[in-house]
Amino acid sequence: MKQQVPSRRDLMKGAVAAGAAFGAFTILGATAKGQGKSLKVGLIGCGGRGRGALAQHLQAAKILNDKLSLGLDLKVVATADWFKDRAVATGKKHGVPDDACFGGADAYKKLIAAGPDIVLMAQAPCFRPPHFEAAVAAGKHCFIEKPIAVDPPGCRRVLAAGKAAEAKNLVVVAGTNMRHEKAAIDTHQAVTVEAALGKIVAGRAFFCIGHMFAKQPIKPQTADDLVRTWQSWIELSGDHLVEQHVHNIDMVTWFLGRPAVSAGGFGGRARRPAGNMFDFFSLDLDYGDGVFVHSMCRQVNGCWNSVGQELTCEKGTTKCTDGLKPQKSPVPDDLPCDLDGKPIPGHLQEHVNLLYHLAKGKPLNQTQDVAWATAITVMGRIAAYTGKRVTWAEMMVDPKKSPEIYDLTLKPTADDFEKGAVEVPDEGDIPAPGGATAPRPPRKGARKGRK
Amino acid sequence: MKAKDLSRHDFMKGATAAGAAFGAFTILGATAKGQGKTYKVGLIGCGGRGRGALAGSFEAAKIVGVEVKCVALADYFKDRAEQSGKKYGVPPERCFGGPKCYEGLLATDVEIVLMAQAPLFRSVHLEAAVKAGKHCFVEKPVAVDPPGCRRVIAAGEEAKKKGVVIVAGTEMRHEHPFRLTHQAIAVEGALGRLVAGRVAFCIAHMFHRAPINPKTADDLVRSWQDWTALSGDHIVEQHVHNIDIANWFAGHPPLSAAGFGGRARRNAGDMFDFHSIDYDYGDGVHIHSMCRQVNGCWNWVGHDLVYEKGRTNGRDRETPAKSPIPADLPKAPSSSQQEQVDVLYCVGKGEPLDEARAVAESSATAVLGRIATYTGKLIRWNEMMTDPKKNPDLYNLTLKPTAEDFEKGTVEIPKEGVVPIPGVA
Repeated sequence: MKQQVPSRRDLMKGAVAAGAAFGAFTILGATAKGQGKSLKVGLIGCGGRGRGALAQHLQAAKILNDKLSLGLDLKVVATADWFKDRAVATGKKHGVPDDACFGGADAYKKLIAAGPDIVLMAQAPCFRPPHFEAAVAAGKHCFIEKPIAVDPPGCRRVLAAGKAAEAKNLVVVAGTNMRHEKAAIDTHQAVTVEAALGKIVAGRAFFCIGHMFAKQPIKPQTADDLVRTWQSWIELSGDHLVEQHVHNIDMVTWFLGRPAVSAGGFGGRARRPAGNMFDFFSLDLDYGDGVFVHSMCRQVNGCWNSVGQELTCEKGTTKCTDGLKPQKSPVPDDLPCDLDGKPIPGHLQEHVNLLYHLAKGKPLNQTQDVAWATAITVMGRIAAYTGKRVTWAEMMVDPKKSPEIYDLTLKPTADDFEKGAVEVPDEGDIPAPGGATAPRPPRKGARKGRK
Repeated sequence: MKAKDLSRHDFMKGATAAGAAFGAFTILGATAKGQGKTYKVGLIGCGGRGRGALAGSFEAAKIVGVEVKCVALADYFKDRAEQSGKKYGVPPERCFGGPKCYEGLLATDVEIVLMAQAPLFRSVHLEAAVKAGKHCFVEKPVAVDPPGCRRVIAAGEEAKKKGVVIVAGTEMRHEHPFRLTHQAIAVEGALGRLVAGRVAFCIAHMFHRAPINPKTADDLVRSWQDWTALSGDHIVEQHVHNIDIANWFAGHPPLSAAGFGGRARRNAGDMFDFHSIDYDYGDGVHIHSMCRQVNGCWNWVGHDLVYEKGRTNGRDRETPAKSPIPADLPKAPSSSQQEQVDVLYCVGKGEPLDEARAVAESSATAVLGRIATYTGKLIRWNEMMTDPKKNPDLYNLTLKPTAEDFEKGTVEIPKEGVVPIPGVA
């Protein structure tokens, strides 16, 4: 099969791996010089982030058309959400007929069957592994928000689907938005690839902010109540360490180029009134080779706040986004990175990158990156919940070392939601690290207390 | 400011500064090298650590080749003082009890005072001991709040003027492998610049396993390890050891602390059972401090300091170009004996060692971390320790009941199980 795309060199790489299942890409390639490409888009998860992602996706197409005359013609063909009314409301804005706006636990299946070329995913994190798996199986290009799972089996499921996506030459872009910005990519090139600061020897990553989401107990009765308040439940969000701090862990992991070997840590719930999550974590992440990263995250009002990351290298430190100039930037010369003289923010740039690579037939698959970052935060969460040191090997690699960690599955699962088998978690029932302090057994001949 | 080492160089400086007000020291100094001399030792705080320190002093005397005689004992509980008195042949009239027991002990002819009372009392007792011209061995931590830490620093300044020896129970600083490694890396720069680090004291649950339900001041003193006002919390009471190593190798205390902590399993007293802190030492150097006293968790006690050209656990590079250890300083088999050897050696040489500032700064660093975890705020060293005007609430933060409250009988019992909650609702 021959394809016609702007870059012949990339074409060759892509074409070899491509095979028959090329989906949208083949269709695009058929249009001479990439002009007038029609792309069908579907959105799963029509909350704030999903609606934002869709708007940014469409804006990205416009930027590419304006700057590179790609002639991308995007059409939103379907929307899906747990709540049908949300899917319909979002659909209306984009001219999607009501019968292509799907609700309920299997809405994602209907959306995928509606034939989009690209699926944008911003549903609650616990649903991402099965939805991503299904989208890849159907040969869809994907934008997938972070985190991509909430437990170890979910992370591995996404990693496997990512391999399948690679074999199908699908473009997969993750919502770890910081790593899409040119300043970050250039800094990564300078620090990690060109070793401008020598070896990375230590680091810190932090997402410490005020309280988020529900301010009162939620008192959920139904599965709907849980999905509506997913940000406050471990089983749906993964806890804020996974849901939010994954951004910084992703940056650190990207720069180090390897997942953490183990995590030990601390956490608790100081002020959160709703759901069943912690509101702070402080972790010791061992990245091997003597590199330790202190990860910190908190969602409590009136505390020290800071969001970012800092890597200490032999010859200096970097915040990973500080725009260090590499000798040779890996960012393609024609990739739009500025808008009105300002750098394009990550949430928009990620869609520019997705559509650019798709249109140009260049491979881009970030599944492993976002799955690693997610899994590291899951490892940290297990460490903080239990007080134990948790290793990557036992959680992700070797099923036999600690089956209770390797197979740890948060319930209710996505499957439970699909099957209507959801048990509502106890609100405020949070993990207590370590073992209880048992009363001291009476000693023989113990002295009486001194008066 | 860096604390004085036991280097000969520093000894000389100390001796020069000493002057006439040397008190006991002058008498001691008259005996060449202190050989054959008998030192009168007293102990304040006759609990396990105090009795251990006293026993260590006797062992150290054998090693150094001098005699020590226990001449007075003091404890909040008189019966404890008397019990130790029996063992050392101290008559009951020289065994002092009650919150002012230290005054009785200091009024005797004791020359060297070992202090292992509850941390809350140390700053007050040390101040009084220095005032009375006694040489001191003081256990760590030396205080539980910022004013207490500054009080000890001031007592240290006073001790220097008087030529009074102050040795602290931050025992690792006395161990030769640590001193040699510190010399090689922190002084001589064998591995280049310090860039990052981790220090930890993560162990299982300690002390009371059931609520204490204290009714009286006595009940509090008896269970002091479980009360923030008396112990400073375990970050101050125990983890200060590792924080002290961080300060010692960094050469100064941190600029600020931000941290996380809570109470997961402790069921007695009013302390947290874990803390995890980001100490900013300036120049891009951050040290992650971790401490926990919870059963069934990941445990680690130690130090891992990262330098440009390598790393150290604080005791693994015993090859400095020039040893900081005087050639004639005997090496003891254990750190708790070594610190007592160092006391007797310094007193005998008439070479005052001032560890007050170092241990006060390490205690204050732990206090800084505790305030950070209790409040959720980033706490700055200069606001807590050096500038009274920037943040008076912090600078003057005084835990109650204070040592004075115990002396005056105005102790209010803290609420058991009521722990600080970081941040605001």
